[in-house]
Amino acid sequence: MLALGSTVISQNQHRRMAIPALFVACVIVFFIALSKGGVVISISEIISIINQTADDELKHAIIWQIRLPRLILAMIVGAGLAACGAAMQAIFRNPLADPGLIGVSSGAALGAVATIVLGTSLFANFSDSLGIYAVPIGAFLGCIGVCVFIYRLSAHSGQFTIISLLLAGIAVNAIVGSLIGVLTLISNDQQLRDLTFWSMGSLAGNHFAMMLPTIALIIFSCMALLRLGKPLNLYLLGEAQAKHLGINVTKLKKQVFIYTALCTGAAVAITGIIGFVGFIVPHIVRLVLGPDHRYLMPTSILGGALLLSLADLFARTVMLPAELPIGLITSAIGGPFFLIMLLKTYQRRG
Amino acid sequence: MLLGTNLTAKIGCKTLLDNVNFMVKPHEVVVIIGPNGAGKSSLLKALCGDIALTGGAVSINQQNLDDYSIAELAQLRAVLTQNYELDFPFTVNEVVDMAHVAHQEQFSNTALKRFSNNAMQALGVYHLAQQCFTRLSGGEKQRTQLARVLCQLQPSLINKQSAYLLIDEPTSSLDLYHQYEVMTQARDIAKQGAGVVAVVHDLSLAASFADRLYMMDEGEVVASGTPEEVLSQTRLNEIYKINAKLQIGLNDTLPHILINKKAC
Repeated sequence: MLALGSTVISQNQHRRMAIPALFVACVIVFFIALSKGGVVISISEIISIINQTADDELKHAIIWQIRLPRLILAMIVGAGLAACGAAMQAIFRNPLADPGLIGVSSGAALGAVATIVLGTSLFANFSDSLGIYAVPIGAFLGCIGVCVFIYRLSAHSGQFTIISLLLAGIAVNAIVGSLIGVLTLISNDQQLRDLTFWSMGSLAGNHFAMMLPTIALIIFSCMALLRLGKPLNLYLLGEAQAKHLGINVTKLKKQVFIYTALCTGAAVAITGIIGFVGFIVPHIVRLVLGPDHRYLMPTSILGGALLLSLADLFARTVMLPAELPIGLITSAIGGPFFLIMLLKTYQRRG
Repeated sequence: MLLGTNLTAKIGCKTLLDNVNFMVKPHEVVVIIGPNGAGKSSLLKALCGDIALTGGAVSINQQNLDDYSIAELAQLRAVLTQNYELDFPFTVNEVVDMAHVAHQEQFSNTALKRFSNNAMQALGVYHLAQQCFTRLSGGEKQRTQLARVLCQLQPSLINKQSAYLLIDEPTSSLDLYHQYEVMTQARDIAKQGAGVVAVVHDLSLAASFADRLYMMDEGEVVASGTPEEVLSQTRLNEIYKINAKLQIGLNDTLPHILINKKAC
């Protein structure tokens, strides 16, 4: 009984400590990530550069045009993916779920690959008028298109059932996969290279103007998902049970679907596919803090920001001057982690 | 009063409920019995608004079920269903606290906390409060869920509102002691002013705790009234195809179904 009491106290303490601790960790990683790289810039220099009081042109450019946009993007995208992962795991009532299940990633991939491959022929107008924005916009449109399709398949006669959402997601993922295959087949060498790198994900080469819509969409969706913490807790009891406790379950499912599609779509559009962040972060948080979404959501958001900025720091410093695709790093961490989780689950169930 | 009039429900060509009339008043325990597939759970679901009716209507306190919002209904009635899908490691206390959402605007956190504690004590799960729900035994899980619905009803009972508790086979995975304990609890909730509707399989248990019984078969109510009226020898033979009779409390015992050696 005593031991029992102490584990509970520690979980409560963890909950209270988690948000400030993660916040401090994010700030520390923020400064380390700005200082490390091909050119090492000291913390005091960073502060004077951010305050616009330094006069080293080169370092000023490195911080403002390369490292800061990239770091902010890493943090925002990490936060968004983790929040969506937590919401998906709740809505599928399955700790192994991930936003890919509802076709967001495959839709974005289809849009991006179509823009890359057909950008010189069929979509020449689209590509020419949008320039470097063409691929992100194509990806976002693809994602929204596929999500609307899946949504229409799952919502009928006032119902929105999770099983039909899952089945529609699986079917549409397969169809989209074959379409991407066809596009890959007809692509030339340069296009093949581009689309391969797109699908491994990258945080590089974005400036603030390009990131702004993504950042705005992700922040909006995260705020919206944060407010759903309590209803999501009740939803885990079962749909009928949540309804009997006074939750409008259909509305809740639709909200989660829409915010997740917007948030993941915005993230994937600009960075390509970055796997496993949305799956691992909420999972680790749940192991430490328990399943209560009122804590799980904010800590997942901070944890996602921390994990992706760390992974990116690693990706761009470990093999200087070359850099690893960020998707490789997160999958390299995520894959083994996933296996360990599965094995542990089986062991526990005996 | 929770009232169902001419309830009819069909799925495809299968009739789940056929012109069923049902009523439960505050302070009353009403038990629905019947063989497998008789439509007991369908009736309960119709009364909570979980299945679409093809005919008839349900009203609570003279107002149609459809005219209440989901949140308003949660303050008037609590429902305990057969299945729990909860596969996430919430503690017992957290599960019971989930009932707060229905009343969080009218009551302070301390008051809500007290409702949880009372409910957990009443169902004998207070000592498990910090245990993980997913690791409990079937019976402990069921008592925890019952504590949750009790917690949901308490504010209405204190305010002397007519509230209702609907339970689908509350005793299915409980041992004998806890079966009677749970039904005693249901009686107690009725005494505090709630109308209780329960689907129960065990006829002896039903006869022991119900004020009135509704016996169903093939989607229809075939008999209703006090246990003595409903559980007659001929009806047990007709509906359940067993040769049995109801033995009303000898000395200090509760009513019991006695089954003849040549059962069928």
